[in-house]
Amino acid sequence: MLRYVIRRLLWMLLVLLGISLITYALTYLMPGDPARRIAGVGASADVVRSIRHQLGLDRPLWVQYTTYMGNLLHGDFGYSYLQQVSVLPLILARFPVTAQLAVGGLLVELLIGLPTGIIAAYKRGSIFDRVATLVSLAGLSAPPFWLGLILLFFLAFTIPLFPIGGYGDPAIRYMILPCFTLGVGGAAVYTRTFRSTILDVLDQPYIRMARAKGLSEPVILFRHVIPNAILPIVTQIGIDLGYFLGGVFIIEQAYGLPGIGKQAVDAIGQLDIPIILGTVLFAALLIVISNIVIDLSYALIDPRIRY
Amino acid sequence: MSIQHRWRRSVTAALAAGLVCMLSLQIAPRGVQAQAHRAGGGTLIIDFIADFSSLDTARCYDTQCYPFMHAMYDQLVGYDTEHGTGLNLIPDAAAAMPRITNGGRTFTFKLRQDVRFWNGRLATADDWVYSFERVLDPKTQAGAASFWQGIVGAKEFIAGKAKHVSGIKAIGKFGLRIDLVDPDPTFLYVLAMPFGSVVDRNQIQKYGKSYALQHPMGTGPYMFKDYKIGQRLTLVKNPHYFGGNVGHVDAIEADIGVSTETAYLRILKNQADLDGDFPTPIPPSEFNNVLSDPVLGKRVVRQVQIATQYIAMNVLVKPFDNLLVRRAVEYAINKPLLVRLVNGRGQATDTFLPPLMPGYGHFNLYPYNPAKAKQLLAQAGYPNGFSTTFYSDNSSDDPRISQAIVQQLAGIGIKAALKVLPSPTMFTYWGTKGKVPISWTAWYQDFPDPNDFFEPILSCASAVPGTFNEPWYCNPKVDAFAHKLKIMTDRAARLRLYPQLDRMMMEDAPVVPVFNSVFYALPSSKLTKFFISASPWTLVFQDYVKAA
Repeated sequence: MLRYVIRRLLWMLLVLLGISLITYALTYLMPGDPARRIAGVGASADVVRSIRHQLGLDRPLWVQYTTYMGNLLHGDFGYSYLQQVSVLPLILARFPVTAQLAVGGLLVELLIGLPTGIIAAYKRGSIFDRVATLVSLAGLSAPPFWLGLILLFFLAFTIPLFPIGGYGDPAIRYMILPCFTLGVGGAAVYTRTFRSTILDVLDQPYIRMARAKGLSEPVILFRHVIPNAILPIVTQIGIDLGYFLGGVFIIEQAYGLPGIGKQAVDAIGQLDIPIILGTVLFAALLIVISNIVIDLSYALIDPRIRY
Repeated sequence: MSIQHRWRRSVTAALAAGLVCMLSLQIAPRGVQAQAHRAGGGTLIIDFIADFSSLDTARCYDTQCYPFMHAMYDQLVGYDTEHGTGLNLIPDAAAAMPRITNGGRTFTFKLRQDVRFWNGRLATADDWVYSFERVLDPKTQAGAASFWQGIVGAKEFIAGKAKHVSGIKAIGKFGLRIDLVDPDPTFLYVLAMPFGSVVDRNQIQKYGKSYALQHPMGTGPYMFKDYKIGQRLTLVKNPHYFGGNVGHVDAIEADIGVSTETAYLRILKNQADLDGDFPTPIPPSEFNNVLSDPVLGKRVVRQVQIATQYIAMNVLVKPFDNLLVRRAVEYAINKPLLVRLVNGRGQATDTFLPPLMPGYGHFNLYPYNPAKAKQLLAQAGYPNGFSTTFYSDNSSDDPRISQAIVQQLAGIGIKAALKVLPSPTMFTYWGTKGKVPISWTAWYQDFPDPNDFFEPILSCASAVPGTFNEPWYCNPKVDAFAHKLKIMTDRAARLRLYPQLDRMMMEDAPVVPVFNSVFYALPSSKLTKFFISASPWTLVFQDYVKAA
C-alpha cells in the first residue's frame, strides 16, 4: 500500500509538471499583450515596453518558465499583473467559497441521487421508476445558468426567501440555491448509475442466498447491496469533487459567488497570466489528490481490492 | 482613453438570453411604486461584474476605478461636477488655480495647508513631488507615465540617469512648481487624472505591493475601510476632510461579481443603488421595458458621453490604402440604423470630435449615399467590390454592431468576414502593422480637451507598433497643424481651430465616426440625487444623496 501511495505521488508530480508546461505555453501563445492590458490603451509604446521589461516578459519563454517553476518550488505563485498581490493568497481567499459550493453541490447530488436510484431499482418498471427517469433527464438537460436565474427570480426576487446572489454571512443562506443548482443536474447521473449497479447486484446469487437465509430487505440492502454497488458511485464522487473544486464558473457567475472559477475566467479576460497559471495548477493539484484519495478508498470499501 | 472593454464570455450572453426567456412571460414587475424617503446618510451600494483592475492611483485607468479614486484621493485640480457642463477645472488640493508662466511651460501651485492623509499627517509639497515621481518610475508600471513624459527631466529619470525629476520641485512646504519641455494646455487636465493624486510615501514604503489593495492612504472625503478581493470594497466618510462635510452618504460599498441581470433585480428591490458597469448597466433585454415603464422610466438618467464609436480603416493595408475606397465606406454607413440597433444608446455623428468636447464644430463630409459609395469603389478599380476581414472585440454590443456594419458593406459590394476577438487580443492586433484592415472601435476621453482625440490615436507619433492608432494614420501636414494647436496658449483661439483639424483629418477618411455613446443608468428609488457626469469621473459618489 505504501509503495502504491509513493508511486501515485510521484506520478502526481509528473502530471503537474506536464500541466504546468502545457498551460504556460498556451497562456503565452495566446494573442494579447499583458503589458498593454496593464498600461491601458492611452499609454505610449515606450511605456508598454517598459512594463513588459518590468514583468520580465521580454525574456525568452524558457527562461520565464524555469524562473516560474523555481519560484513555485518555494511556494511562490507570483504576483497578479494587474492587482499586484500575491497569487496564492488570492486563490486561498476564494477557495473556501468554491469548497463550500463543491461540497454542498456534491451533498445535493448524493441526497437526491442515491435514494432515488435505490427506490427506482427496487421498483423497476413502476411509475416511480419512470418518473425518476423523466426527472433525471430534465435535470440533466436544464442548463445550470438558466436554472440559476429561474431560482434567483422566483425564490430570491419574487419571494424573498434567499439573497439575490452574492456571498456573505451566514454563508449557508447564500449557498443553498447555488448548491441546489449545481447538485440537481448531477443527481440525475447518480440516480441512473446507482439504479443500474443495484439492479446488477440484485441479480447476483449471493443476494438470493441472503433472502433464502431469511434476512430482511433493509439488512440485505445495507449489508450486501450497497457495498457491492457503491464503487462506481465513489468513482463519480471523485470525478465530481475534483471538477467542482477547480471552480464551477457558470454557477459562480450566475450567483455572483467569489470563487476560484470566476477568478480564473476574469483573469483570462484580463490576461493576468500568474492568476491563470496559479489557478490551473491549484485545481490540477486538487483533482489529482482527490483521485488518489478515491482510489485508496476502494481498498476500504471492497476488501478484495489490494494495492 | 478607451473604456475598459470587459470580456464577457458567451455564457454572459446566455445569461441575458435566459432573462429574456423568463421576462418574456411578462412576469417582470411593473409600475414599482415610488415612496417618500428622508434624505441623507446611508450606504451607497454599487454593483460590478468584475473586480477592480487596480486601486493604485498610479495604475487605475478605467471607468470602474476612476470614481473610487476620486472619492479616496485628491488631485491639485478637479472637475466642477455640480455646475454647468461639469467639465470646468477648479482647485482641489491646490489653494488656487496655478500661475502659468514661461510661455505655458511652468505651472506654479500654492498648496492648501490643511490637506491631511487619513492618518492625520499633513500632505506637503514633498508628498506631491514623491507622488508624481512615482507615476514616472518604471517600477510602478503606470500606463499614465505617457502623459507625464513632457515634464523636464522625466525622460532622464525614467532611463535611470537621474535620481529625481528635475522639472518637479517643492517650493517650501506648500509650494509646487512643474516645468514642461513644451507648452501644454492639456497639462492641467492631466493633473486632474487619478495619477495626479497625492499619496503617502511612508505607507507605500511600509506595505510595498500590498499598499494599494489592502493599505491605501489618501486624503479624500471617503476613507478605505475594507476590501475583500473579489467580494466587496467599503469606504467610509472621512470626518476630517479638509473640504468639510463633503459627501452625503456615510459609506460607499462596491459589490463585486454581480452580473448585470442580477444587479437589475437588486436595484428593483433597493438592495443595490446602481450598476456601475457602463456602457450597459441596464440589461439590454430590459432596456426598452425600463424606459417605457411609468415609474422606472422616470428614474432613468441619461448622459451623452465625450466618446466616439467608429470604424477604423488601416491606411497601410490594401485596398484601404486607397482614399477613394475609404471614402466609399464613409458614404456606405447608415448611422441612425446602427443607433437603433443599440436601442438609442448613442447619438449619430458625422465628426470625430464629440459634440460635448470643447472645440467641436459640426460638418458632414459624407452624408449616407450607397450609390455614391459604389461609384467611388468603381473609380478606385473595384466595380465588383472586394473581400476583406472586419474585426471587432467581443464586449457589450460590439459584435452586433459589427455584424450590421458588415451587412451595410455588403450592400456596396464589400464582402467582409467578421472576426470577433477578446479585447486584449484586439489591442495586440491593432498595434501590429498590417494586421487589421478594418475594425469597429471606440475612443473615450481621457479629459475634455480636443487634443486627446488626436495625439494618442491619430498622430504620426502614435502610428508605431504597440499603440492604439488603429488606422495607422499619419499625415505630416495634419500632424503639424495638430501640434501647432496643441501648444497654443490662447485657449479660445485654439478651440476655434479644432473643427478645421477635424475636417482635415476626415478628408483623409481614416475613420468613419458613427455615434457618440450615451450612457443610461437606472438608480434605486432610494437614490434621490443622482447624475452621470460628462467628466472622466462618470460617477461622482460624493454628490449623490440617498434617502433613509
